[in-house]
Amino acid sequence: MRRVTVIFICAMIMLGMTLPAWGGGMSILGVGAKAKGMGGAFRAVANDWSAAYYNPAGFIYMTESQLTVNEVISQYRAQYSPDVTYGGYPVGYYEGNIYNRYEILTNPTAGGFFKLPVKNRDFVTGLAIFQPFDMNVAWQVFAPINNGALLPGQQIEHNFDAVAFNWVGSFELMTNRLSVGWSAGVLKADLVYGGFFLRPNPADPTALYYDQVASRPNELITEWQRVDGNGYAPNARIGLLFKATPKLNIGATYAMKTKVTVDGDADFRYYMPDNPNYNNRSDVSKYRDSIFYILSSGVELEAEGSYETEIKLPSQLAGGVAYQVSDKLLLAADAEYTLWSEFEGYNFVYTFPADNISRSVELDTWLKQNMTVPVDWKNALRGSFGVEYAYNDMIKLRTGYSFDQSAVEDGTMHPAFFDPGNKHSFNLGLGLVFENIILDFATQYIKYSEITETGNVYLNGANDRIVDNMAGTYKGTAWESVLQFTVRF
Amino acid sequence: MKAKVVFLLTILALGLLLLSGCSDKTKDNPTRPTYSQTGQVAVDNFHSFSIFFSTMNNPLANPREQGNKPYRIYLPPGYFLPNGSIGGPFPILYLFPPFGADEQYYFEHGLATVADRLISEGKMVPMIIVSIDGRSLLGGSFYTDSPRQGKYFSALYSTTVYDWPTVVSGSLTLDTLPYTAVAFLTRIDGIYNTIAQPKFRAAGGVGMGGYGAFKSVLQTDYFGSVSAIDAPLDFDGSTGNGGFLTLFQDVYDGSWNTVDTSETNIGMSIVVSAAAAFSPHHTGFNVDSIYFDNFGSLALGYTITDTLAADASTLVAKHAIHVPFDNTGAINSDIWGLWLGHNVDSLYENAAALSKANFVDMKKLLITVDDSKYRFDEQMSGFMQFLDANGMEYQQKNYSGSDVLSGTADHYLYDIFEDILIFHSDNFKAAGY
Repeated sequence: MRRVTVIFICAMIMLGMTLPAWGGGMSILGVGAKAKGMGGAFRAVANDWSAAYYNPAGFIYMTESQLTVNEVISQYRAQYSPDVTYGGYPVGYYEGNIYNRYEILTNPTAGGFFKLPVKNRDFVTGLAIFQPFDMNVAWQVFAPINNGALLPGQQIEHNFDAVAFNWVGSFELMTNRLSVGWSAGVLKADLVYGGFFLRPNPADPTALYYDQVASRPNELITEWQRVDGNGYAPNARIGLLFKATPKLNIGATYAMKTKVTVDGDADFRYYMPDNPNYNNRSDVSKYRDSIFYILSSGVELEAEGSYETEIKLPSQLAGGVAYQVSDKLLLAADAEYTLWSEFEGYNFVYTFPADNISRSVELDTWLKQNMTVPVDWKNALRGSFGVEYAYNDMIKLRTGYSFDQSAVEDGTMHPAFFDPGNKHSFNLGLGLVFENIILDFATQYIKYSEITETGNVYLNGANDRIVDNMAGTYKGTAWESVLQFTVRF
Repeated sequence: MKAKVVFLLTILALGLLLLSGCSDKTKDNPTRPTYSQTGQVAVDNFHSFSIFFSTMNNPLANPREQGNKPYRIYLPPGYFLPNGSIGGPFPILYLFPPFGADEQYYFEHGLATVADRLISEGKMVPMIIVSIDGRSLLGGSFYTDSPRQGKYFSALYSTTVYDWPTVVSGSLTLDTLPYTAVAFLTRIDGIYNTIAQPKFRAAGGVGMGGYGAFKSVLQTDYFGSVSAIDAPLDFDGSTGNGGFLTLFQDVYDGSWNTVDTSETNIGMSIVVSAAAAFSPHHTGFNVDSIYFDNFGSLALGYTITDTLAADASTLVAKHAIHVPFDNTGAINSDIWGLWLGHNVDSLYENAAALSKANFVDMKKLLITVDDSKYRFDEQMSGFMQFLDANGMEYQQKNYSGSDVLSGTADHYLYDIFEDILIFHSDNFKAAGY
């Protein structure tokens, strides 16, 4: 028992910020090896630690306490072929097929619960740590055509992790018929967002120097930023599990909307267009503090500051049915509806130190403007179907399929929020029971639809005149495997 | 034992499944393209004491206004060879700057960068590209000989002997001595390793420069192809009352006494400069019209405040020019007739037979823009109608602008360069280069 406790504590410490597979929007495609093996159709099954995510009401029907650790190994091959122009004119996006930064991501997670007798009824409680939302993608797609520099690091880097540290509990409302459960606690959100903004040149269109300073290819100024911070917020989900017949279970869950304010450090780079033929003119170079000199100087301006943004994570309604066809065969199906329309993207509010960024006060005012990364997302539906077949008491075979709608409105895709089209997920799973130890394995192949989008979109009414999508062709695949180790006691 | 075997087989299967996903990790992403070949840009002056001679020049003025015209020249990759010798010979493109712009204009818009890229990509042959300051004291020469603004056209193409007042050593009075002015084209062919054949020369330009290009191909036999971008190629437009006529209506405020030719009113500067080029006063032209005189201090950026008169008796004024509009803005047909004599269709009609025939067959590229300046879009459409009516073929492309940048020729030159460089390159290749 002491050894198990040590394993459990180590698993808690190991919890990293890497990702499991994405679902629609920034949802994850399931938690736990058992549920994943069944395609995520688990809300009416909910018979292991992952009930903390799928349906906490299922805990009450588990006959033993459990501690679980699992390791998720994920790899993604997202592909983007840019077709971004302004009025048909290229601005620096690479041509050809571009792949996201290749990584094999590992993600240890864990959970445990204890079956406690409370008064005259059973009560199950425990702790679970799981990741309901995630996004981890990085791209190199662009080099400013009006400045010879390359953007630092990953030009687009979006790593968002929302990890729930939840207290779970469950008890019966109607004996052997209806139970309720909850999973509530603190959600820790970590956000790293690196990205570039192509900002319209701030030169005054009525100024005599405008043509030399802001004509093609200098009509856009590249600003790159990288923010890194975190925040905490309460989160909760509740579930009901109804045993309609001894063979038929029906489950339903609701996850609350969560608003989390994230803050941290911010780095900025600004790439001034390089036009030496103009900049070296004697009637220009003598005004080195002027906006027209700096805007044609080709210099890279840098700044450090801090940022804050509020992230609105969506609520979710879900339901599922499970039917025990025979002692050996279990069928399950789920549907979940995530209100991604509640998610608005990121509105960064920056704080800069008093130092000047450039020699021009006029330009500094423009450089320090807050940036937004708006999204136009829609509510998304996910349907899944799973089968578990008990070959014998020791071996359980699982398979599943899920269909997952994209949350991204047509025409608004951006590589930082990679969710092109509908996804098809094919799952296989295996469970091995060795007395009080259970070894579960699941592997999942996810196929993203190929989509092609054209045209520039301004999602915030073109107030900042910054295009918020990236046109082009998107597609991708993902492969994820989970190995799960459970001790029953 | 059985359980152990199952466990080991399971671990093996899981390992294989994990490995099965480890593919595609070596795919290379595209990166910023780099161009190994870069040309060089040289700056020099074309000094010809007489070429810009005009009654408006002040002998004490800046040499730039007197006789020195700076030019800028792009020498392609391969011009200077590693062994120190000169490569080539190369075909050459003359790019004439628009109104108010100098020889740096095209280079400030990225000409050398685009040329380097296109040559590296094999989209254009290496060529020399030269541009000379086309400005006059009033802002633009229209590449036309004029006693008011100078002999710009002659300076470009005619190696001429002029009589010129000269200080002779030991004498207290000026003597008139012959001065041989070598044409700019001749000078360029003499300095740089060009192919001095018409089929390997091309002319192009934006706005007034496009007019200069068409004037050059119609009044000389030095060029094999021509391009123009948003240029005044048909003075009265397709309707017969557009073009410069509409531009004048746009900028005329109802009084010739307060004509503003400042940098913020380029339209009026163009009208005044065009008048200086196309209808300069000379004593033999005694017509009752509105005219300017006393331009001694006038330059771009000044506001004309001179008292004007419609009295024919004052037409001897040294710097007078005639404008084809009276006090009410109505057209003076006599003066306007002088302008139309410089219109491209007139230049074509009056061209020598060989030039005319060459022009018919010459490859022409016309680039229009959605946000044309100075009503040049009306002139472009009128000129295209003229070409259509006379069965002359041409290529045409339009630039419409974007959400962040309006579609003017200046704004999109960086992209237009690709069109005109490839166009002229293709013609050089077709001619055997």
